[in-house]
Amino acid sequence: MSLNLVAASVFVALFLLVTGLGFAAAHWRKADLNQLHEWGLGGRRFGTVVTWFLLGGDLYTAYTFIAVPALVYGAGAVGFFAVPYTVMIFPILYLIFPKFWAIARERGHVTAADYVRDRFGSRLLALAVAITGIFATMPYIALQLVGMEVVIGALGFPHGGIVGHLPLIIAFVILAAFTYTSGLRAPALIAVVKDILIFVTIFAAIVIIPAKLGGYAAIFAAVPPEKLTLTPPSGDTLGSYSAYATLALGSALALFLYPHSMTGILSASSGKVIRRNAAALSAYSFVLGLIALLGYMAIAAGVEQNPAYEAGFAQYGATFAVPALFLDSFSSWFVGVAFAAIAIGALVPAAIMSIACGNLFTRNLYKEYMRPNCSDADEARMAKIVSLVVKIGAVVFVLAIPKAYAIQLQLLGGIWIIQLLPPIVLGLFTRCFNAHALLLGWVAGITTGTYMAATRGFVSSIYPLEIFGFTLPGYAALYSVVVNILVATAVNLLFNRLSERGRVSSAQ
Amino acid sequence: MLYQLSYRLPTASIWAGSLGQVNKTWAYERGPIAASFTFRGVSPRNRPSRFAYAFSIVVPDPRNGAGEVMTDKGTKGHLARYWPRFLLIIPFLLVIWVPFYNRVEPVLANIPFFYWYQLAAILIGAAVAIAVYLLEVRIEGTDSGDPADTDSSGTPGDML
Repeated sequence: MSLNLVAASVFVALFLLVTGLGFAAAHWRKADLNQLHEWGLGGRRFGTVVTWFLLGGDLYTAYTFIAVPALVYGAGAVGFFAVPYTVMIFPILYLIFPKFWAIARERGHVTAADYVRDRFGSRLLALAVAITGIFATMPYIALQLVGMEVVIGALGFPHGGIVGHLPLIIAFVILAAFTYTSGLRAPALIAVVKDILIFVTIFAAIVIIPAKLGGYAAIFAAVPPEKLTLTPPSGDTLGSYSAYATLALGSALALFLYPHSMTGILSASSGKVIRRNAAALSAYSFVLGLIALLGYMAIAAGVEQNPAYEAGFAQYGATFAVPALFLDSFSSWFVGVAFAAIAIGALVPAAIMSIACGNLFTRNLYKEYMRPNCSDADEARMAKIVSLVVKIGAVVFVLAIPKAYAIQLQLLGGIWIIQLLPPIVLGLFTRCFNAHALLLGWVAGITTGTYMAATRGFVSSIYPLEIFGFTLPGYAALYSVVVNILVATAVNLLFNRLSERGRVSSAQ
Repeated sequence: MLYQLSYRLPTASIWAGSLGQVNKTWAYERGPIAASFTFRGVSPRNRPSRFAYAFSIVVPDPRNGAGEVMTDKGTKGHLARYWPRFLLIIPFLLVIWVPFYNRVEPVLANIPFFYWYQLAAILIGAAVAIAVYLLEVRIEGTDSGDPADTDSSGTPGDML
């Protein structure tokens, strides 16, 4: 592939625009950025519209735009699980998070671990929550880089060696710099540009590409019939049905437990803003559904048979399907716009994720265990430094270690993060659980989930659960969080018994 | 407006709630396990009901969950206030039973059922969420008194 000059120029121009915006964001809704809640939560002042852009940019990432159609391209119908998943996230957002926001605002919590520390009075449980959050987020940042790498490669920049990595390194240095100076305001402002570009690209894609390929009938006719729907299970198994449903449900439950989603939610200016967004975010879900269909369009366009894209597929595998489809269907300048949309779509979540990690480390490790008396300014400075370190770590990780590891760790991250469901969500809705029970449940959940993934060699998160000779393949995250809740409940009952007995005997 | 009043008070008195200070000291001497049981000693009358606790956006005491509930309690029942939220089960029901939509026919505008049904489920899910929100706004009236709905800048108009 030689460098596509027009596309690359448009791409670089849009990237520079966004860089300027990132630095200018420090002056937007100006406040003292040496306060952690100003730098790391935008002062909790984002209204409905800004929150819509911020959460949209946060949850629907570059990796999503690349990986979901790639899965549909490679595996067919099962890749569409992203759609029921986004259907289930609205009710969860509506029911749970306005309440969480209210408590966090009232008590000055910046992270989920702050809340757990305050709610259960347990430093250990808060530590578990903070570490789980950081470990689950790090590979996620690395995957944003993978998404960016694919489009930079597709533009025809030379790959291999230090020169090949240079565009990616420059992009991340810029990202690190404006995140450091502007905090959460930068991704919030950039998200507006990114979303406009994404919406324009996708609507152009669903109009132009089917017209070129002979309509949707031709597109679906090109897909092998066995890929078009899930394989119906036979015999003593629920097969693909339970796998599809549990993947969607488990992913939906896990989504808002990720530190970057929490950061997006806590930066809203009121619970009403969150409730409005539970409805308004569906616009992105619909676009995600359309993006998934790009996988079939890539099959119909026969991009893999095209010798022009042979090198790309050899390098990036199925993730090259969407970039190849865009190169095939759009004129050069619009390819630049589309690829910029994806690359900027990597910057926004990567910025928010690194801010979230910075907040977690500072609040729940640094201030809690290392310097309990540090000033507000120290706290903000520490978070800024950690956000830098996290990004450098992600770049080194992606460049030094095979990509497959980042994908496997991200898969494990989903299984780990869902283990925060009992301490965070059950804590909001019942008064029954105590910290020790939740901590033991967390240990049980993490262990079972990791074990389930290990039995599949860390390449799949679908675990074939066997109950009385009946096989129920399902998402390991969902199964392990059930174990987590069962253990927490059992231990809790035990503690209740013991404490009641203790109280009776001491009264006598 | 009970919330607005109590919000101005020092934090300690907000969270003291119905739980006596003596009781609380006792609890912390014994560490976190004991602390979470202290609400058993509080008379049920002073505790928010289980239903209120689970459905409202009230602010409970984060330490033991037994703190004062700061809502428009007393003016409206919680079922009357929060019933629209039960509608949010609809989006789950639409997509949880996979065999129902794992089929090609009926095709709509050349798109197999499996695909257009799930895309339609997004739109129905959004419509349900909008309906629930609007119903709740009607029930709340202009000022819900709910702490979750108070703009942190203290001003109305949290659109941007």
